[in-house]
Amino acid sequence: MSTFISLLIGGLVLGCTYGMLSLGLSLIYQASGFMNFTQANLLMFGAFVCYQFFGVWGLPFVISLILSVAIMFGVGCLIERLVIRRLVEKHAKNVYVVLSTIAISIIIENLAMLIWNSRQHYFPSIFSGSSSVKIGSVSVGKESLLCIVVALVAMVALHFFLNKTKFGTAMRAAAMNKTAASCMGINVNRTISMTYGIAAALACLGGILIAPKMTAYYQVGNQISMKSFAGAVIGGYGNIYGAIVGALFVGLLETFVGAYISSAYKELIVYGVMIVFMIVKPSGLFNAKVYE
Amino acid sequence: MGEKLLEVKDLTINFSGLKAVDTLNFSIDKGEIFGLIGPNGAGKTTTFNMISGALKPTSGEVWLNGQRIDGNYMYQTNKLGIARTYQNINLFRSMTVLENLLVGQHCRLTCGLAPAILRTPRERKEEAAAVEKAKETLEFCGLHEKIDVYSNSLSYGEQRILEIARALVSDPYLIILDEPAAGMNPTEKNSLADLVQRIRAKGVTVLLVEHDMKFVMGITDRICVLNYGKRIALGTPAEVQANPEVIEAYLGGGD
Amino acid sequence: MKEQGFFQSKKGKTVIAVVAIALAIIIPLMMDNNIIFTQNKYFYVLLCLIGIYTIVTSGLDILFGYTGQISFGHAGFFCIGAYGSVLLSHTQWGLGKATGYVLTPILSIFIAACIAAAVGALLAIPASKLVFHFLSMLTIAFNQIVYLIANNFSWLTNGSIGITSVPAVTLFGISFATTTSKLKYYYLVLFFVVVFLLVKTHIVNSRVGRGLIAIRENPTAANGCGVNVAKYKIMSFAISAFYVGFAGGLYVHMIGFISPDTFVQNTSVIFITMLLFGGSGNLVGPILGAAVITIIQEGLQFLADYRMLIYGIVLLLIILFQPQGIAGLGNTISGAVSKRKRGAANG
Repeated sequence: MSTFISLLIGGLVLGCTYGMLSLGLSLIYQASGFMNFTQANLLMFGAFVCYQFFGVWGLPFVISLILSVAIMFGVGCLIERLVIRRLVEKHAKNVYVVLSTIAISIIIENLAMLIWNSRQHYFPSIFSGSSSVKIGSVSVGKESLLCIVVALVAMVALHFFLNKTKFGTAMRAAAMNKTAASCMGINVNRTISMTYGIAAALACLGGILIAPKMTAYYQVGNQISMKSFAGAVIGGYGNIYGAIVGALFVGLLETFVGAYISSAYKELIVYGVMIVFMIVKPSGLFNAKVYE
Repeated sequence: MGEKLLEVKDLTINFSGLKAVDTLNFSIDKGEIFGLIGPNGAGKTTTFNMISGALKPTSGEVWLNGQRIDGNYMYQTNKLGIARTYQNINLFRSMTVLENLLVGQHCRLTCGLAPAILRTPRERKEEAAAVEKAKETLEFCGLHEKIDVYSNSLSYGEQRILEIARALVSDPYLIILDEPAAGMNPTEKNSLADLVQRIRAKGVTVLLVEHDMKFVMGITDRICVLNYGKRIALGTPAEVQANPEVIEAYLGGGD
Repeated sequence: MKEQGFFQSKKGKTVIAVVAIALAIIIPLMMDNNIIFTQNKYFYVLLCLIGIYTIVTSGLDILFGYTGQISFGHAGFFCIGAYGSVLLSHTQWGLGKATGYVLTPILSIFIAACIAAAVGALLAIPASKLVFHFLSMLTIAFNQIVYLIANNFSWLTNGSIGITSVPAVTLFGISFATTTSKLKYYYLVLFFVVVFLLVKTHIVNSRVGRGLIAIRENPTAANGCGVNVAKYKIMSFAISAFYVGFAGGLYVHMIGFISPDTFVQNTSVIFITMLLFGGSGNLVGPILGAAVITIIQEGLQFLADYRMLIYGIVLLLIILFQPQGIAGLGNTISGAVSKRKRGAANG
């Protein structure tokens, strides 16, 4: 039983990390209709930025976290402004937009490798003293709990941001109908740019929270990229609530398959489930509109 | 009246509860020029799409030459002898005029992958014949001088004519024209009307949707009027023009 | 490109092709005998790689440049072709291990390419229905799955250690072992390059090819013109996979060794970079792209750490500023004169 609970917690931690990515993917898809393959490497890069502040320069954790999230928000906006928007304005084919995000993803991955070399970096523990708390008979890492709590807070905050604030409403309006939204005086370009920024910030947050478990390593992005996509697809691409559910499902599936069947097959099974969803039910669990 | 070519029986389609076309009935005779008109949003293009196979009707039937064709894909309908143009021009933009017409003959050519790879004599012969046929059709439509021009550099009116040529080159029984005169100047409209008459003279039946009443009234034999997805009148242009319900639909402020 | 001039005409193109093939035959021969050029064994390897990647990019071009479908997973087909051929021809693995009977390498390459084509068709069945975003994702997942199978199914592939002493190609009693003569293998590759390019020109200039281009240009209109869009997309995937699978087979029998690392996602990205760099939707672009990127890749060995970064930047710059690739450079420069571009860049 205690193994089961610790696996459950491990699965949730993974799921929350994927969730932060899937959320960003869905937000961007909703707002601009594009898939963004940069997301996972933004997570990796964000973790490294925080590692630099916290692990290398020794700033307090909270400050490092805020700084790196802010920086990654800026990076996300910049990517949209410098690349995506240019292509959209040139009426480039959608394929090229997707390709550009892959190119950026490769650039970010290799920049990280050049800056922080190709070794795995140990991310210092966030909490001093005892690193785990007891829940009943099971001891759970404080970092794991923090990861789950922060992810949940971020998701709830995003929900309120989108539904209760003026800017969130503008974002949703722009996602539904660009022309109508701009007629209503909404700066559509800015909302799309903000969406990329928020997605990058979420990815960064996810990266920081998982870093103590996975270490800071330049290939982390590659390892989790497809799984966040799997989460988004299973949940229903473009639906932010579906993204969370799908990502948690993927995290749990991966953990339990790894523990009870074989860790060699866990990824195969996750991808297999994703492909089955694509074929049988491309609209996912939450019936996202796959297109128009 | 001649033989029936196309029959539409109780055609209905629902878009999330809204009946865009509601139990529509009409039939088109061989060699006829048949018009479908109605105010904006009356369901004309939706009807076209169901006949040509772009949309599946919720219920009802479409028959061509005694063969049921509703629910077919567009490429199947095309092979059975219905070719169409589009309201918002759908050309192969970076292909030349000639190449557009070669694609137009796709369903009439037979060579698959293997003959293409091996360039068999049969394939060469078929290709040469296809080019000849394309040239003839271009001559017929008056576009022969533009044969090697890329289709996206044609004028708007020429693009509309090219769409008609591309439809015509597949030797259809029925050609469906979706607002062929849209965006044309009066001279172009006149030559279009002439072209439509000559198409009919070739033995091809014409079904057209058009907003320009003068154009429609001038060339069609019979007209079906739609409003809110329902047929409100059917008859010769003169009959339709005199129909009070039609006048109401057009002048009574559709809302 | 319908501009006038000898080199644009059909005859002119044939002349260029013949001259190019003649040069491709003669220059290595001269090198081998130290006439004008000096012998350099490594150079033959480079030439072989360029040939193999030309087949890959040409195959990818049929899918991307002509049909307008994207694949970020072509390394998966490369992998199927390579592993397939090894498992069919190796005495200690796969078929040889199971039955004691093996196929001669060239036949094994062909069959492995057919398997790749079949897998490509299977993959395309859902893909032909999906929005293109999902297509890119599906192909990435496919690449990952193939890689994971190659890496994890040790009983079949020897896992990450890989398989050594892959048999050499023997044809009509002539051995094309790269350990003895790399020049001979180069001619073998050259032969297949010419065949594959010829087949490609025949396909794209036929009814089938026009159907593919029509799908790229306007799927709705293609459907209305009688093109069975789903079927043609599947066909395009299969043809493309056959090309890449065959190239994979040629690759592995040249190198003589196979391991999963060759077939990671990055390899697919390199393929795309080659194609976009050279220019898609024509015959020359893929050749140029394969040649230049291969030379850069081998020339920059000392910059190995920066290699993927350079690819990433090159890819991004091409997408942003020169979507026609270098084959379209002339077009871009004389853009004011000839406005019409044939490439699939802007729609």
